[in-house]
Amino acid sequence: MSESTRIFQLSERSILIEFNRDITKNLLYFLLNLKEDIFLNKSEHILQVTNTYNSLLVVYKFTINNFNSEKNNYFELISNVSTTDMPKSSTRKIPVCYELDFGLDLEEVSKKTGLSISEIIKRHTHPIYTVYFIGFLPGFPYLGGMDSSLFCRRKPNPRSKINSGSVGIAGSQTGIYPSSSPGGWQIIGRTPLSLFDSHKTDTPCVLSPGDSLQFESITKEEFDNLHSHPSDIKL
Amino acid sequence: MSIYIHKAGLYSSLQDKGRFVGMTYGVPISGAMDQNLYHFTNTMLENPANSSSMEFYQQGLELEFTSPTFMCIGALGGDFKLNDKPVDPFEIIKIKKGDFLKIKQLTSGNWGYIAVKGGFESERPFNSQSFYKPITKRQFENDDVLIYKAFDGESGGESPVFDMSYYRASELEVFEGPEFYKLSQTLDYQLKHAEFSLSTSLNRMAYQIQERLVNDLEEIITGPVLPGTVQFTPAGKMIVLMRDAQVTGGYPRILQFSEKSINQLSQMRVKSKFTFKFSGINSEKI
Repeated sequence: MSESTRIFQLSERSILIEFNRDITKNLLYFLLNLKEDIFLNKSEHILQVTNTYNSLLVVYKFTINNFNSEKNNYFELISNVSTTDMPKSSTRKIPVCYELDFGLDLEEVSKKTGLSISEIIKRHTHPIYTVYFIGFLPGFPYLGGMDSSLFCRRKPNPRSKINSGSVGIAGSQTGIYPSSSPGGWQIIGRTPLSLFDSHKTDTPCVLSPGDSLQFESITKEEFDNLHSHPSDIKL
Repeated sequence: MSIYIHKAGLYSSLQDKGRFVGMTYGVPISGAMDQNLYHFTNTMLENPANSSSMEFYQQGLELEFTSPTFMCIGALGGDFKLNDKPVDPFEIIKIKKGDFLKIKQLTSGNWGYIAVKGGFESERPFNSQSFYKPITKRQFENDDVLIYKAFDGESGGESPVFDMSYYRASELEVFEGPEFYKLSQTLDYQLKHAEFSLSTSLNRMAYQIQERLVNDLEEIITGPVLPGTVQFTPAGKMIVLMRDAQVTGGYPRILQFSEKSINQLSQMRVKSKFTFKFSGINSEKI
């Protein structure tokens, strides 16, 4: 483990822990377990720990005075991290309308991948995706597990506005814009589901790292109904 | 019990130390662009450490106070008038109902702060009053109202001296970023010796550096970033992430500004020149 582990002081008050390994669900579970262990061990000193695909960022309350001792402490935590699998979470169904009004780049993705639009929808709704982390925008889930035939580069010129709920593809990743924002992802549909609520400070995000989800194709009419009655969405 | 905002100026917002509990949810840290100036202005009024101040960018504010308080303007230099009489930054000013503050422009620096005794009142999503859309509104607009508790005491606070020399440095302290070790010797040399300047692209999310360098690094897999992280784009641009930076990014992170140098950079104007001074918190190599 240690040859592929890097513990790096990023700033006066943060330490980056990076694992040079393949991006897998197992690595994610390992990171989430380690994150919890760090919280349990060091809660007096740290403000928060975030994860991405292969790294953790530990943000401290105060300036780090002795990086070497922190580093040794982390190596020890890493070697003792519990290797239990994550508890199996149920797979949430996320309704998505893939009609062209919302799937602004479906035609472009179709050209780039050589797949028909109906085939794109079929392949996008088939897999069970894993939420790796939340980043980019408040509540934006980075999802892994997309069918490799759908891999598609970002748009060369980002759009100045992408509507909230838009479902996009960037390279091997797929994700959902929780609020409107500029962005370069290829947009293939839109969900009526609201992913982020800043008033729920304890649980502002519908999705958390480690969650499983699957997309479910809905019609424009169903989208409009769910959009005006969001409480009807069963997750 | 409020300030009535007749003219909101540019990018005016409420800011404090920032949001330290939301990164896991993709919520940026935010907070005052220049934490040094923000902190000093609050200290003058003996406010609690995380009191909010009104942050403004360069020019064009007109504010009317509707209750008594003490006020302090934090700025590196500018043209400020209370009821048409000039006032200075770092002066503790007794305010009465109906007082009218005009800020024509800052003559030095980009960001200024208006603090009142006890701070301003507003919602505190994720333990911070800092504006960041979509968590709060984006910025103040004309005719907005900013609430504070009236204060009718005799003394507003202390009068320590503000250290202006903090901002005279043209060397900005940086640490090597996580991908610095991948840079060629030429780039390593350029970053350590060349002079750089600020482009016209400056906002609360990021400041771009004008000069471009040749980038032959591969994109990294998306990783964590912080205010002060310098991203190196495929086109060779260096982007210094500022307070409203996203929490993750996919460009190589070649440098990290220190807390002090983020404050210093925040006040540098377009075309300002600077060099990097490498400091060794993380000289450890793989």
